[in-house]
Amino acid sequence: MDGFMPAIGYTAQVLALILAVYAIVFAVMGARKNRQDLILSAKNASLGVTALLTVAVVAMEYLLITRHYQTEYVSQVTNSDATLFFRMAALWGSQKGSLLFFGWLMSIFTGAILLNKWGAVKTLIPYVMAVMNLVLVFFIGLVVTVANPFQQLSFFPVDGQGLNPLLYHWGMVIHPPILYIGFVAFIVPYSFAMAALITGQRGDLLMRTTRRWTLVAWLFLSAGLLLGGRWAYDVLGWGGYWGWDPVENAAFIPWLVATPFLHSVIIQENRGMMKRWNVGLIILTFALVVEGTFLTRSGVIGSVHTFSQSAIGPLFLGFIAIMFIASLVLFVNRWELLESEGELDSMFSRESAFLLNNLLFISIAFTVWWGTHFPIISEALTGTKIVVGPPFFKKAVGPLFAAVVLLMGVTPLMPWRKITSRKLLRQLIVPSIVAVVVAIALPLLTAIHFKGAIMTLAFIAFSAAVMLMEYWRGVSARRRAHGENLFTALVHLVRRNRRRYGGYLIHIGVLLAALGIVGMEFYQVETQQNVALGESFSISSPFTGTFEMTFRGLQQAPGKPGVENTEGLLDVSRNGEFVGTIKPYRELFLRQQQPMTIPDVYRAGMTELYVIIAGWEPDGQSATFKAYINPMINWLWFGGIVFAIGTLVAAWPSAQPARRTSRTRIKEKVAETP
Amino acid sequence: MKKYVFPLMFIIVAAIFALQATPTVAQEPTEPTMDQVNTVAKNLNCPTCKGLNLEDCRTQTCNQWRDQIKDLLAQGYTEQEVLDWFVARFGVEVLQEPPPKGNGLFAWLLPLFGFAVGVGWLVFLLRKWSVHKTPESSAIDPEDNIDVEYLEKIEQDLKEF
Amino acid sequence: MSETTTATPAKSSKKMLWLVLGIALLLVLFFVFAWGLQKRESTQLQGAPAPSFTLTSFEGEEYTLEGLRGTPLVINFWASWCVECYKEAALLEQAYKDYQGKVLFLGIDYLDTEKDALAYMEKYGITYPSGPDIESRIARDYRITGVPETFFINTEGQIIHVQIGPIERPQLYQLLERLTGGGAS
Repeated sequence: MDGFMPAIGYTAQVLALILAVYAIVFAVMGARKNRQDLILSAKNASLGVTALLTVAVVAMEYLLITRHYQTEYVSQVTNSDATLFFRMAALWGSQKGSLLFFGWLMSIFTGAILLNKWGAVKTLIPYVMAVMNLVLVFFIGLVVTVANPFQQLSFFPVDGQGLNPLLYHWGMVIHPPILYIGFVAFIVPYSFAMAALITGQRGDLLMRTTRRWTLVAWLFLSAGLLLGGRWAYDVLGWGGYWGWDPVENAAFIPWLVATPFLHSVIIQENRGMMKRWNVGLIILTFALVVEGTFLTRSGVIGSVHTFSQSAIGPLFLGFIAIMFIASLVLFVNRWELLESEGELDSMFSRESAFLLNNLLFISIAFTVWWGTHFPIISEALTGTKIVVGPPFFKKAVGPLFAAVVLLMGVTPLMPWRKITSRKLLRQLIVPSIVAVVVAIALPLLTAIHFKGAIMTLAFIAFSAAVMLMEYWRGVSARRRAHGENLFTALVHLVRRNRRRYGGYLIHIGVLLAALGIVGMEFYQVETQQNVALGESFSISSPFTGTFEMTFRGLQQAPGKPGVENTEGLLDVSRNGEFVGTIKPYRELFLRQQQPMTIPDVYRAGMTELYVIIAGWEPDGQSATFKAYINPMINWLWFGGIVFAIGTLVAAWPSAQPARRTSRTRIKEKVAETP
Repeated sequence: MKKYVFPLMFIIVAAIFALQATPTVAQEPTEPTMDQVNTVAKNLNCPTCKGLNLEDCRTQTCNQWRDQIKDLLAQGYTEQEVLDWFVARFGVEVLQEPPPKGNGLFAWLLPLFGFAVGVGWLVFLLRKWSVHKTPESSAIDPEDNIDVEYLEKIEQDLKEF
Repeated sequence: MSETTTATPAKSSKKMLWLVLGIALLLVLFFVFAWGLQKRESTQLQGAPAPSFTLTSFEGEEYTLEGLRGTPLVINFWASWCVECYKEAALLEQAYKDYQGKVLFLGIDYLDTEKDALAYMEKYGITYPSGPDIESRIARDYRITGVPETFFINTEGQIIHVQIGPIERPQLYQLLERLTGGGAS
């Protein structure tokens, strides 16, 4: 059995490649000749691709679980110490396996689309199928040729090398799949947009489909980013959650482009404007997903996360070149088709607020993209590499994010078409008062004195006030109309218009997370001290007072197999009062001789004391610790949860057809009648 | 003239004291603390593990580099002088933040330029799309249309009942 | 909504302009990527003329490739923090002594601090000239992948071999023979 598994897996990959090519050819032929039988055949072939890649993944999992070290990939990512859980997760632990995994996830989305009811977008499906399979052909092609995970060694290794120690963490195990799902799901809106361009449709029909799928992809991408941040915070031990690393940025940039799309598509739904822009954003999002994947996997840019250099680089570059240029040509070619008359009744309208939102997000996306690529661009064009690190990103995009926070509050106050300035001013009174009170009270009552922090917190207060007012207004209207109690009214309100109130919930999540970010960016303090046994060191922050930590000694603690755990014991007292003991530890992965410093924290409300052990004397008589006070950090995680719930509320498919505005309904009627 | 003598003498005496005082302060062998070293190291890249800054990296290379910072600080270098020393020795790529001069300027300017183009485009669009109707004739929603939508919903609800 | 939008000549030429502009930008990007993909291959320098360099040793002496034309060179990139470098340190020093006057050895200290570098040279008794690689310029020109890495340059200034990682004794002496014209090349 063992001997057959690699052959089964590889054969499945090859057959999947053939079927994917078949699906492309027959889908295009069927669409051109308008023959349903060919299209059906293509559909079956495409579903076959999904099935075959599933077989390949199962075969790979079997090899990983049974520790089939003769398979080169297995010997690279597992060893005798690896538990079942980490053997299974090793599928995405390194380049080749994760490419197979990536392709498989993508094929699942292809299958999901094909099994769905096609309805109004039926005419697009053959081309959707063709585009999806084109992308799939590339990824399957990689694992069939230069990155075959089923490659066999000519000898039987006794043991494997094992996973990169950085990856031995639950967060690292679940965050890549979630991120990958976020990445690959963008293929759906992309394929629909491309199909619409190919067939020359005007892009109103597909907007509902693409919006829904973009929201799904966006949810996973957001969750992946948040979990990645949490993993960095829990494992990497540098006291932060986001390092502006190329790999992180590569996942963040598509998010920054998909977010304005989700907003501007609302303009299109309501006003029929911005078709061109929206199609452009969809295409750009997926293009950036692919480009980011290339960047982080080909070894063009170095990073802690990058997979080692491999042969996939040139092939990948060729694929990107074809995909980008084809998308661009098609897009420009259909320029007139996507023409939509913009009309604005007033500068003070939701339309213009959304336009501003798009401008801010695209500017942030471009800045992050530019910063990420600047080292390689500067090196290629001038010969001198100039590194762009976190300080650049913080300075360059921080103010833009603050503006986004403010805009988040202003936009709901602006109705479609226009609002008279008197009316707008009336709406602005309460939130503005809240913001001003916050701005005055903060420096008086708390230790917050930085202008940037005060301003951002006032913006957050402003927007939060608007969100709560929006909820309040809806709830009280319902209570008046139906006599419901507060809770039922809230539930019914949200259920009646999940997109709106789910969206507001997402915004509240963002605002809460922003509290944590402001705390970390402006008021994180740190200290590094060498202390002898029994000695103490302290760290203080105006948010929590002084923490004093007394070094009580080192001890070996039971850890994972193959890992030596050395714990440092610290008694913590806060403002002179003993509050507990924390044990930051260092894991030493014996096989790789790689250390990991795992922090321990003491929670003081939403603020955390975060301590790592940086080193010690061999005799254990003294050790070096690094301590941080991370103000309001837990608001970030809490906000993340609220954010995810909001997205689920907004994106969950409803049993009854989604409530639509009368305007779009009429428009669809018009579109349906030839 | 006389009234200036005392202040003048005071200044001279103070200057002499100051001159004597500064060297003694500088020569005092104050060992830089780890926090002082870290403050500088935060602005430098780890040379071997890409993507980490010098403060957070625990490799041998970085330990040595941090020691170098400590030595320089002990010799009386300021933070900026230490950074300059590192740039001269290892090149501009050791800096976390691109210097706002030479080619590094492009890192900062292009996003600004992009933003400016975006703002220009937005203004252009807003002008192009503005419909100049008299406000009264286009008064579609005298009421806030949030409430309009809500009333519509209530009507639907009532119909269901 | 007006749907009958036919492409007027003015419009289509504007379209072409956008298209050309877009493709041009993409091509620049692809060029950068392509360059990034192929750049770090020091082994490609095998057989090529050695890139010129200027090295100021820790003793303050200046060495340039042009100034050393006519002398076979062994250029070794190393660092005091590099564990693999320890393995070949004594061997290189021994070979340097064996070929003294015939082959010049140069150590190029990569991303290192002077104090630790000098301690390392003291510890392993390195006597051939070594110096810091200012701004890592030499390392970049020689496209090194890491340390240790050793380049063998003949009298014509041509790189005859690039050794990535520590070198073993037989291979080192064989290459030295080739450099001095003694071995079968």
